[in-house]
Amino acid sequence: MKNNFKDLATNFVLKYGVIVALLILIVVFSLTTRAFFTVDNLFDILRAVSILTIVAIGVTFSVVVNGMDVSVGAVTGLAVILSTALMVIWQIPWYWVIIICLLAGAGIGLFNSLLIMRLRIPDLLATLGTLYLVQGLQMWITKGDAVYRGMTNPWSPIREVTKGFIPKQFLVLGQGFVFKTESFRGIPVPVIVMLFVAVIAWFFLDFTRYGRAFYAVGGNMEAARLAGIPVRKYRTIAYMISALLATLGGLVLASRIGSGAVKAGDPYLLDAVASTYFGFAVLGLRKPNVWGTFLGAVFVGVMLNGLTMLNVPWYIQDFIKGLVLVSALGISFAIKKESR
Amino acid sequence: MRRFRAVVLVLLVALVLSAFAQAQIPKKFDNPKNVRIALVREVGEGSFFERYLAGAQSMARELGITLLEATANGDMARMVTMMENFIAQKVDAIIVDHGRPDPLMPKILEALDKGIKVVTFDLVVADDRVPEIEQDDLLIGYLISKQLAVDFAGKANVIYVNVGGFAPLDKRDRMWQIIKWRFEGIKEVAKTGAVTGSTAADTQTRMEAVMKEKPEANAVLAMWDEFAKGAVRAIMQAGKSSQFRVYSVDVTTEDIQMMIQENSPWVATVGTDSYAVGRLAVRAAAALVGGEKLPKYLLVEPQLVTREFLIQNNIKNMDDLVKALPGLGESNLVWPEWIKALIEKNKK
Repeated sequence: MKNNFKDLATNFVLKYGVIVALLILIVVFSLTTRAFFTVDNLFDILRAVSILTIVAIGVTFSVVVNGMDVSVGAVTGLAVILSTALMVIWQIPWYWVIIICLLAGAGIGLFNSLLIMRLRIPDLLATLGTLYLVQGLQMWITKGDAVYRGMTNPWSPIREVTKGFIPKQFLVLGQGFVFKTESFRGIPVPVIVMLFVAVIAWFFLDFTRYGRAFYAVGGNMEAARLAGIPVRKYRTIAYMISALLATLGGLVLASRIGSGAVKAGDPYLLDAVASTYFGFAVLGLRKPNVWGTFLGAVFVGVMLNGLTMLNVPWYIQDFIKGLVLVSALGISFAIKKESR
Repeated sequence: MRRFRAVVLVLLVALVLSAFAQAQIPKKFDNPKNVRIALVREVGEGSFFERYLAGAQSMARELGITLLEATANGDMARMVTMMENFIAQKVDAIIVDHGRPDPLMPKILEALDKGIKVVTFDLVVADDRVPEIEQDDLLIGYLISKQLAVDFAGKANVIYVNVGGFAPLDKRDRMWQIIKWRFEGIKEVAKTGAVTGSTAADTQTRMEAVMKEKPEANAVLAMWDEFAKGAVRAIMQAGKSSQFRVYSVDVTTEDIQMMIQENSPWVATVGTDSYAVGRLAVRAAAALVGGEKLPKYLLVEPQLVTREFLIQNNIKNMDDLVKALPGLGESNLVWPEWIKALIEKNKK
């Protein structure tokens, strides 16, 4: 019995190597720094990874249907520039801006799925093409300038100063807090948005008929078709969700930085894809899943926060991040091979 | 007859005078449209470079010359290809804006061999024929570090945001080291920062962590405005404006807007106007084409800009700032008489 428990424990450690590594990291950072293990900081970490998680859950959807969407970084960047430019240069109310951006995002998702399904371009190539298109569009909107209050209107021949600004209501999305109390700063709004997206996506994929159909399409398209699942429709929806969540991530990002930085979405592509594939291993599921993706993103956030507090130079941080990741994954995968 | 003589005399004088005036402008610029200057840029996005390009274009317009632009989006191989293309097109001069010396040097030499003039901006080139334009980065680093030390009367706990490996940032760092040596009470309690695809947002995240870990910190020194933007956003969103003063480098309209907003901890920055630098680059290239000899180093002098100054003078953007602080405006470098004459002539 005792032996059995030991086996179970070892098995757990090895199977969930990544989660164990995450827990160890949290303990180490808590002991070595003053401020890591505080409620405010833990929410800061979640806030820092919220945009990544939202984008990564979008990518997860495209991977679930056995596809790949590499245009997400560009779409995130487009949402940043488009939303801020609409408010600052063209002075459009913030609620319309959100609607316009989400429509643009849905449009890009639809465009991706048309390229992939109607023109039968391989998904990686199709979304790569979209990446450049959207990137170019993003630069075109402001002729390469960033968007900020008091900028000169790039479309005005006399370099007229713009009068628009980003209103407080929009800034809440990235900078606000809810459930404030005397002693508690509150939960950051982006964290709420992220959890909302994660819970809905998780419920949808794991507990509904539609979710199972998504996985069926990804598992074996031919079998899914024979089973009467409208494969095309599901793949289209997956790409639209992917682009929509990338847009939502971009809106939160724009609100968080309160201005439109150029190509701000670029770094999210690699991190989102990494989180998604990382998510395969995290819970030992070996398929794309929402909580795995979420934990993958949190892992990245914890490392960044803790290592920065320890004053570790940035050029070593990536190396340490890679080292911990590879070791955790190595343990996870090695044991699974043995146990089979 | 006398009348005829008088007319001839007047005509003669007019002819001599106009010939004299024209002789000053080099022959190449008889029809300035035929003078083609290429601008090869490593990066083009962001307010600094947008304004730099606008400056270059305005100078080209005033001189009446043709300006060809190409931007490599940070891709060094593409930058080399662009150089090759412009050499093949036999342009008169190439302005090389940033980039790395190793891959670009052979192309610069090739251009020089073919009689194409070359000017660089923020790129070190070991060849006397190539004038280098640079914001005086050592002076920038000194001015801002000194301002911090003096403001804090020699005692401050500084969060230093900078990275190594970039020539301008390294030069600024040198002066910070000297200031720390001079003022013993100036302590660097943490060093952070990373250059990523979105530096400002990344710095913001890092700054949130550092602020909590080093509650004793009361100053931030950011050697690039992208760093400063992230630091300022982190401080303001944490409601710690009264605890911190932020010092930075570079000045754009976006930076000015962040400095003048209510409760902004961003108290000072040092920089040049990229508009003036863009104008200088085109002017220098044109001067070389016109046979002018230029000094090897064209160092653009930076100016200190404080939040107090901006607010007192009600400055909202770069145009306002240049008016209030003339030292920041048009550079006094490279103004041969014929260039002034050419601009005057084109105005007509």
